[in-house]
Amino acid sequence: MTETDREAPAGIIADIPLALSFDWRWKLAIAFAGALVLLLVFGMAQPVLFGIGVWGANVPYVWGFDLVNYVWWIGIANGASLFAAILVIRRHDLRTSINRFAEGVALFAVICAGIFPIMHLGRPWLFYWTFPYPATFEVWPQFRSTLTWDFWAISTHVIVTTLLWYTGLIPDLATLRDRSRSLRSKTVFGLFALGWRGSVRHWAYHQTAYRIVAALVLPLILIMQSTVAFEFATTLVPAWHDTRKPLHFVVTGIASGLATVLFIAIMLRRGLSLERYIDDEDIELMAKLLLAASLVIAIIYLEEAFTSVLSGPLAQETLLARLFDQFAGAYWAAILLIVVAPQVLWFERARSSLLVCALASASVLVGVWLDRFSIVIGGMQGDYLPSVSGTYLPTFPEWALLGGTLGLFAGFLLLFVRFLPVISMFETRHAEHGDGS
Amino acid sequence: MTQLFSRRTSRALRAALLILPVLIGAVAAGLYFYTRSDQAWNVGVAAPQPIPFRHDIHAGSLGLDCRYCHSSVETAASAGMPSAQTCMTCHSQVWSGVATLEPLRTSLALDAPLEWTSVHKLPDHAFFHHGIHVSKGVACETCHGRVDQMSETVKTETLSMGWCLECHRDPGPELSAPEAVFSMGDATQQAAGLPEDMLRLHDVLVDNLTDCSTCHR
Amino acid sequence: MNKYDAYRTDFAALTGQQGPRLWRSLEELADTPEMRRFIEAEFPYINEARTDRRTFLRLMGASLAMAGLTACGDPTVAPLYSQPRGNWADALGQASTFASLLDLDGYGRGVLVETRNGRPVKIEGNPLHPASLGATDVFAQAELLSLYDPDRSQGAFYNGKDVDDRAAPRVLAEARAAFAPGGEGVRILTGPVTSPTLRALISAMQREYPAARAHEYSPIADDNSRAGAVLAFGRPVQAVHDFSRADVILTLGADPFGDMEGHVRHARDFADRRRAAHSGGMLPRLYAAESTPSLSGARADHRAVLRPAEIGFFARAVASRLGVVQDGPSDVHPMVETAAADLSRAGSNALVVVGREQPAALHALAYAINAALGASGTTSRYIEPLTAAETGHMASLAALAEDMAAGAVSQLLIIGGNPAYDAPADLDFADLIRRVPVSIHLGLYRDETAAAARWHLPRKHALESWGDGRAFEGTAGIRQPVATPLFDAFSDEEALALFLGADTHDGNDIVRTYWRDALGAADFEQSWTAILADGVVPNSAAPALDVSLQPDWDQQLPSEALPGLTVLFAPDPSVWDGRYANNGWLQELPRPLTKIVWDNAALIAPATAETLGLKTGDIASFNAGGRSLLAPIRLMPGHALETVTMPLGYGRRAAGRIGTGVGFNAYALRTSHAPWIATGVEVVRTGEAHALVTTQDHHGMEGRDIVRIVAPDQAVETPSTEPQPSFYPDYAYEGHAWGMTIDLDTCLGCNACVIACQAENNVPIVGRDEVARGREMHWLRIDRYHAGDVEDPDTYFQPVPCMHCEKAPCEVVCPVNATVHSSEGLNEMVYNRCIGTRTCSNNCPYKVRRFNWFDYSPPDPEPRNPDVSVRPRGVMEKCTYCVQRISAARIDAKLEGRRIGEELMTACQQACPTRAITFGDINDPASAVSRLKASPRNYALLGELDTRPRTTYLARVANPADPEGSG
Repeated sequence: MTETDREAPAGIIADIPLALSFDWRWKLAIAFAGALVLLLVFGMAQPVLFGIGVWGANVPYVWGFDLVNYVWWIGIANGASLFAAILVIRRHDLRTSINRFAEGVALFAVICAGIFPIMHLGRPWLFYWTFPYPATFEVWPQFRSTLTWDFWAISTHVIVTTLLWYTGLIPDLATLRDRSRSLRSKTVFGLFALGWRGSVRHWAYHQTAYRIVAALVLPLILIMQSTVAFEFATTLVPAWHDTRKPLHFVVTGIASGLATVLFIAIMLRRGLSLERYIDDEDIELMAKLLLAASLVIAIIYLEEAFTSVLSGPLAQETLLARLFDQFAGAYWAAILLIVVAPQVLWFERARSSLLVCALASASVLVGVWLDRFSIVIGGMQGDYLPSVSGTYLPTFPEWALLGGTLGLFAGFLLLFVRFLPVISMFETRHAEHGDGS
Repeated sequence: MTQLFSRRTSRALRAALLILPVLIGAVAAGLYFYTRSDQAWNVGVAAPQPIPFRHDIHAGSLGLDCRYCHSSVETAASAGMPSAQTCMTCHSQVWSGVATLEPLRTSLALDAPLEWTSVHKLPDHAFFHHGIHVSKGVACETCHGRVDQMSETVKTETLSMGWCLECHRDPGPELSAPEAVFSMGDATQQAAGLPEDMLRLHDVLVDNLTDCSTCHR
Repeated sequence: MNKYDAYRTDFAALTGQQGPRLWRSLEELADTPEMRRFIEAEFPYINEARTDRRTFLRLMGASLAMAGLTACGDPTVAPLYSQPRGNWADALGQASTFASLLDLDGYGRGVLVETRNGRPVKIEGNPLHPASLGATDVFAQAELLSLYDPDRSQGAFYNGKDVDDRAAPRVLAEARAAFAPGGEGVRILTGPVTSPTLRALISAMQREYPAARAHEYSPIADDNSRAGAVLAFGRPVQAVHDFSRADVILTLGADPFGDMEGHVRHARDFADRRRAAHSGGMLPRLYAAESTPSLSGARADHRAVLRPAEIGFFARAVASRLGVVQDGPSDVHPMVETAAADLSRAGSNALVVVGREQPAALHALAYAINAALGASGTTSRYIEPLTAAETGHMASLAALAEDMAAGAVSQLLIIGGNPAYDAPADLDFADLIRRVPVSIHLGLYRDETAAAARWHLPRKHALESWGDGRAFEGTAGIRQPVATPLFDAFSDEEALALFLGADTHDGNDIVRTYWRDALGAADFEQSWTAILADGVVPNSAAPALDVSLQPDWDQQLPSEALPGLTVLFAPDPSVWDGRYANNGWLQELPRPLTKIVWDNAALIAPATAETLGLKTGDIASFNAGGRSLLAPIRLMPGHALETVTMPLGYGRRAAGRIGTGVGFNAYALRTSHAPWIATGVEVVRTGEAHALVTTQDHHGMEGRDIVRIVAPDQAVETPSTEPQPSFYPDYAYEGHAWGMTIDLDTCLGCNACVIACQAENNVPIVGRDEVARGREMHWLRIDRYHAGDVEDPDTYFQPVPCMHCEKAPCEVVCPVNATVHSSEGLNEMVYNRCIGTRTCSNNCPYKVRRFNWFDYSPPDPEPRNPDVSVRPRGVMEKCTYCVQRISAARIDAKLEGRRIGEELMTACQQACPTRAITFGDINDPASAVSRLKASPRNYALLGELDTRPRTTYLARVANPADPEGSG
């Protein structure tokens, strides 16, 4: 234990949370994030105080940004945790550098996602009616509804990702406990370290637990992402009513998760000068993965068009509507950003440039958001009766929700960076000793 | 440097974690029982009234029929409140001068309605019809209790939706014989007849009793 | 009426005896902080939507109009009332219904008014009244909202300044005191008067003051048919049409089912005859020759689009084919031959109807054709004019204007009406009123005329006052008050009695006295009670007159050769002549053919618009005779070329918070010598645009089987009625199973059902901006589709309520069981359980669900149906098949130990003039709805989705004459 303390890696990483103060860039960033969180508060207060009429929604466009953002965030969360879990199970080298904050990203993203299913309700204060509890009015939720499944999906997601993240943290919390000087941080880290002493027994238990949780994540993620897709696939809306939706959502979700992790990796590396831990190979490997993901999406888009053509006139009409009608921009922009832009990563030099990688991942993130927009909003325009028509125009409170959740996400990440080790110290140790315990 | 937490404390802390689920369970149980308790529904709580009217005297000792004052209970949604005139049929002679009846006289003098406070208020989204319940053998006492023994009118049941549903799901056991509907005390004995007999007797069609629109429109 | 006395306390809240008077307190309220909060909570985005304070106040008016003041107490306190005396139905919140009478331009339509606790909550048609037969039009339904309108005048004022409420008797007495001997210079201006009582009072005046004059004016009066009668028969008789005997009908610019007096009855008779034909018999055929698309034209089997001038030629051409006239123009329109042939074949069962817009000579021609066909006496008969003004209303007003201009009028009493707004522009009537020394206006609103007159006195609403009136065919009906007057006001009769110093000025006495004299005092009481109960005076229909054609009846039709466009003026389907401008229900009611709300637009043929370089929404300047008017245009498929139709009744300057400033005022172009058709109008583009708000943007059916059309005795071919397999078990229905059919063959698209539903189910209005956002709340909407070429398309209407699907897609997706299937097959919506995910609406292929995006309804709206919850913000709502009526019917039936019978009707069904909507128990094979569902015309909308809707449609029947013109 004490011997490991002198280990350089742990040293540098551990110094970050233990440092007494952070430089101005962090302060600026957290201030900006805080401002965005205030925007989120505004965005949430509006519909609660006045009604969700403050959004651009109407009949037939009953859903707007609320669902778009939800599907986007949950995709990122699922993608990130799936990625992390696979690394843990495969004991891949990347895990040393990526895992810790990949798990963090998943957790924060699912928190952001979790806001929307509640906020999008006409009467948000009654959201708990979707939870099966013995009420005095003896009415139960409707278990046939995909929205009730969603309740379970999200809560499971929060629990599992928290477990994965926390299990990974325990040994490092112990290290911080031992290295921290102030009594307060000693106590806090100590409490959460659960009396970790790094004995062989501890290590054995810990590794098993860590892998069990990771193994749990794998199927759950697929199920949860599919559940989200079912919310659309099970409806009669012509553009949504198809069995391929889960596939589409899983694939695009993974891409957005990868993109986020890569983006954050680059930010951390530059921001905290962690070149030694997040090295060029890691970045390059991630870039390759992202490229692969975008290629898969290309196939998915082709397959979507193909199945719609086979599915009969109504499906064709609705696809054409998405391609060429009022929301066509979103569809084509999505293709451009998700499929076309990342192709630059074929080039060695591009992959080795942090800037290009950052831009590529950012473009995939934005692209996936537009993909959600095209599916949710663009999907609602083709209806059965021609007399039903109208349009959808997002309002400021809706933008506030999007910006606000971005701020919340950034805020969580910054606090995480500030107070916890962003790189798994013990994994790094194993890695650098070349012994995977 | 010394360990902040000894092994024992660590073990104690970990053990403490196990208490959490117990606590949560306890809170849940507490909520469950409180929301079903009488005080959560103001059962037995009297409301301030303009006149200290006593059911135990009128319905109990004097043995007035419920319908003498609540005259529309058999036909209308509302059981009906007696008009000041109705009260005056007796109180123009009996207790004619007492101060407590002043509001009654004012009501007649000013030709303005007399405002009581309801203790059996249902929420606005629940539509209740006295006539149909009474005519199908739901006795006054079944919901309102032994009004004939109340010096102050109070609720004896929670009137929660769950409570309504108990009967709407299986009315048989709660029904009384027609002749017992307006009588106090013996309603339950009368209902001791077989539930299915009661259903047939009152020709109650159970299946639409649990339709939402039966009470919510 | 002492049965209401006990409730004066309730009305105190409304009459504002606590605190300031209502119309003021509204203004004040709108400035208190808590009011602002309430406003922001209700319409937070009004200001963001860049709407000015007026719009916002107007919307406040809308919601407060229904709130009847925000006088809602603490909800936790639940008061129970002991009434001082008596114990009648009202005290128990039970419904009591009274027969009464509502008039439109003088012609009475019998109604039944349901009241709760002394307040009217719903208006239905009176089955015993010949002009109603139980049905209503949109105006009759909407009168309910007008009754509670907080913008109603609540006190007298003098030169625009308030005076004490009880001024009226004094004012009228003083006016009388100043009468010159013989009543020189005394003038009375009323609307069209069919009321026997009012007429008696007027003639009493003329006896007492021989020099006094009474004038009648209505901007919508049909002077031309009267003048035509003088040409044809030498006397001003009035025609009464009987569609129940008409096999072939030709309308010449007329809309007998839309805006002609007696339209509700006409529609019913036509529909009944069509229905009868479906079970064997002659299917009546309707030919329409018109310039403006109308409801009748949309329903017609053959339609000819003609310029106003061409309609005359068309008529002459038909007449010559029938040998009525010798010289008839040839090849006016292909329809001439078929129509003529069909008419002659139908003979005495043929009917030619002419619109009020058409010149007298054309009316004369039509009378001649009907006579020649032997139709006089069968499909049309002639009676003594029900309204006076033999000279015609326009002439009557012109004469008055002349006297006023000449200073010959010293006392002018204007009873009802709003001439300062709706008189022809060339008379400049408002200015003339100002010149009269003593001008007194009795009106429901402090409108334009109130502002022009010296004195304004508040007028009782029809539902608050005694009176009477005659139906379009002469039957007299009694109007009895169904509500205690909300304000100190006077009815027309009372005001006139005061003006003339009659010995009694109590409405009840006046009307009773008249009818006691009329019916004879012998057992008057019994007969009077019976009459009040029925609302109709037995066999008081006007006797048919024996008239014969004058030798010189055939006059030359005016043929105009002026350059420029022709402008047609028409009453608006929602605000009529402007009197309903402040009625939120009507303003938000989509206009039947254009689906425009909260606005009017100049209708113009697409081809003409193209030549003028105009498109929908462009504002054009219309100039004629030195007058000019700016109006947005709307392309109207099937409209005559070089012709513009301008709906009257908008551009009000003093209508109230709802109606002021909505639309453009077409009266500005109207002249007293050409009130209906203005020729030689110059149209100039302004480059400005105005956003017209509509509830339906797409007008084609995009090749889908939405409205089905079949030939007579032909069945609809449905894909496969075999229910497809389903994961969910079928329901078993022990008791009733409710269902509905809507007959697209008799539906006219008149909107009566829509507004009846709104009144019955406390459906809120949301205002122009919210409708623009696609958030209208109507539970029942009427889809309108065009098919065929844009020059002369077919027009179809399809009312779309909730389909109450057997396999309802909405039910399975609701996470909290807020919309569920009932044991009687209803798809129920439980507002108090709804959390507002809106998934149900998403999954509804018919998109009939409506969502409360804001708190559209105030907590205690007025009028309000107490049997229906007022929905809060954030919950879904939709058509319930009037489940409250089903419940009431079930309870009544159980209490009386019987089954629910055909007495159970939904609000839309009850209001429908053509009985196109049928509702009932589909478990009972004998029920009307079961029989209709067995019809070969029965089909399910979007049946291919296998939602198995309980609401099905009966295909429309196309009944064109085959080329030879034989049936």
